[in-house]
Amino acid sequence: MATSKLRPTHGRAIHGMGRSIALSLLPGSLLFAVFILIPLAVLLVTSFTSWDARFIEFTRVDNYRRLASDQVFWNAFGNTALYAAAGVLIQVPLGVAVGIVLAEHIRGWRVFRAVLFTPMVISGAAFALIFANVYNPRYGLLNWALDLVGIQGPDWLFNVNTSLLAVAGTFVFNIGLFMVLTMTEVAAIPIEILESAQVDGASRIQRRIHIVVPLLRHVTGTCVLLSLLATLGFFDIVFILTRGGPADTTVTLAVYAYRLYTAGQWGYANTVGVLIVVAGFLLIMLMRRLFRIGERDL
Amino acid sequence: MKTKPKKLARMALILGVTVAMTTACTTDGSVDTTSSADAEETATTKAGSPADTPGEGPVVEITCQRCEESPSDVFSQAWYEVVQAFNTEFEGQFFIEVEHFGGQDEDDLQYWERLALADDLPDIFIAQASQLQTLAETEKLFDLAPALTDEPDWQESFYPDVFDALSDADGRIWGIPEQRDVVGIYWNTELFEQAGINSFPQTWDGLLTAAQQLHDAGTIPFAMDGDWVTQLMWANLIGTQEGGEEFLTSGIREGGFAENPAIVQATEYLKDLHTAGFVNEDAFTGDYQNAANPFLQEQAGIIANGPWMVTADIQSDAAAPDLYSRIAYAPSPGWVDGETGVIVLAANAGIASGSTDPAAQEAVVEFMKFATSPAIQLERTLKTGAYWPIQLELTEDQRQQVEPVTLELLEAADSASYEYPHAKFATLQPFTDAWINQWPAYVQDAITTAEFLESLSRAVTG
Repeated sequence: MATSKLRPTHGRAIHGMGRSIALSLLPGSLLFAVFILIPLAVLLVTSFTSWDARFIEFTRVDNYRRLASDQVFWNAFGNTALYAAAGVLIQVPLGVAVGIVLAEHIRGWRVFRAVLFTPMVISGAAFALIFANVYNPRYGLLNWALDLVGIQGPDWLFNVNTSLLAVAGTFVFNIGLFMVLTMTEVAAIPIEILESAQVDGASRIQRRIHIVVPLLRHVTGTCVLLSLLATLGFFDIVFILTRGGPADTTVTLAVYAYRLYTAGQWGYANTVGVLIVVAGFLLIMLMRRLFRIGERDL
Repeated sequence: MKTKPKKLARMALILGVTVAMTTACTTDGSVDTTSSADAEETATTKAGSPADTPGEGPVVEITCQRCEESPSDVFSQAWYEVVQAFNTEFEGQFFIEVEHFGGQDEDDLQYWERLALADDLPDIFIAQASQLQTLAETEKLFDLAPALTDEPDWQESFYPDVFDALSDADGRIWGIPEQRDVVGIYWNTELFEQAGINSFPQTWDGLLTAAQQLHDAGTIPFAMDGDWVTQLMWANLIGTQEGGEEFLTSGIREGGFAENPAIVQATEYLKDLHTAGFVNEDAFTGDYQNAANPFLQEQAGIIANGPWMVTADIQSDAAAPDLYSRIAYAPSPGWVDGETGVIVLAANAGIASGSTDPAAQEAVVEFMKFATSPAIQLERTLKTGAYWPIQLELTEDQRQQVEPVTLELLEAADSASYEYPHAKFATLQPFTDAWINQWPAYVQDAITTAEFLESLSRAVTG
């Protein structure tokens, strides 16, 4: 029957539509190739060169060898890892927890959702400028508040002991995206499962911990992955607040790569870029395996 | 069964999407948002555009970047007005098209280098002297030395030192100086008087004493920002020593800062001002506004900056009412009584050109002569507060128009014992990055003087 040919089975394309599908994918594929694949190829090739605006010279693995002994690179790597840890250990759990609570439509949940999501609609640069003023030791909001209780606050962003925490503090409480993703996923949990648990005597907390949280495996894994990838490319907030200082205590891989670029060391900057890309791929594969993203639960 | 019209419609849709997505991207750094008809209509409103001069010979069109109309940048706005005046003056002969500057301050050298590699440098652009020296290596800059040699009157109209930073060892000249300023130190006379100080100190020891008095009177002695203003003070501390000028002019590019006792002394003095609590608390941000605001609001008594600060800041709405009547402008103190110093920003930036076409080069030279003519330079000074690179003899009427406080220092500069450039303009972005990065840690004793100076040395030597 003609209709049976139109019903897809096991995800295979409908017979006869392969060419149309390929043509439909053509524009996106072309753009992907031009703006992603080709630049990636250039990034990789030039990471083996000494390159500034005027000269380019193939130097084999010298750039990669240089990374091994580059203290600033290791500072950047360590800081990026710390920011990633802050995201995974604070930002994601907080966002998921708040999402779970708000998904139950507690009183005022719409207001909470709007307030917590608002930072997501502000650009990173504007966000950083707001915090630059909040952290200002002379007139900033934070030190003014501390002064009210008799505490003299430091120069949060330019004190070597507080700068990293101060920068991390600008984004770890920015939980809007993870909250909304969690709320959406919670809403998709069949109500019968929760009612059944309630009938069996499970308390609200028990239902959240033993039923809701496990069923949020996919979205939690996605949130962790998004957080890790965001911190891997962490640039705008760090650059505007501290430019990676003081004394490289806040520098990230992306800021370091930019610094190398403005210093005319394009080849070496691209070496750092390659490592960022490779780290991103590895994180994606690791998180997919760890959280079994894409595997069915039920 | 699919019909042919449906297939054709599907193909047309795919093709349309592909074309739309690919042509949505621009091909160069400037965004042309006008259609050709709109461009022609816009051109008729500009003086000297080809559409206005039918029947005459071809108008030579050249391009300019860093001369855009700008409500917030007085320098860019001033250049825009000079360009418009040139277009009016040379209507029918030359026309300058203002292009959008697609770079940013931190990476403008890379921006110019990319354009140079693509043979797409604008006919006129403004860049720092140190950047032009680097750009010259691309061999895409227009050498202005022959044009100056052919016009000895024009060449001799400039101060002798203004071409030093813009020329190379072979005598090629890569830019015409944009301005020449004498940079001193502003001080608030009323705050000083309240602290029991009647005049600006002439020695660094005297300045320390005055700073203590200001501090005791509840005033922040120095306004600094961890970058521009802080480095001006550093340059003053170095330049007022023997060998200081030589270091700031050329030695700074050779590194070895930690081995130079004069640099060590200057750096430690500057650090001590911070550790003694004589500087505003937010003095490390690298943001000039963090230095300007306390001075403009009369919370701080001293700030080092150029003459343009009067027009741009002190006489603006951001300053305390009538602040101008309470400020004075002094040369830098010296290490020895009576030996003061001034920073001379002699052509820290130049008007350069990437022209290769002889007709365009002729237009470029005409613009540079026009832009450095006495009338245009005086007008530019009145608008920006920055001073002229040419040796201008002012009439009494003209003198009355120029801001007197900074003019006085300009004319008294010759009597200063030391004249030296600003460290910032002999170096490139990596030096500034290293300074902003390491300075706070140094002041907090997280690194030693030697380590701090070594980091700066590495930044300039690569």
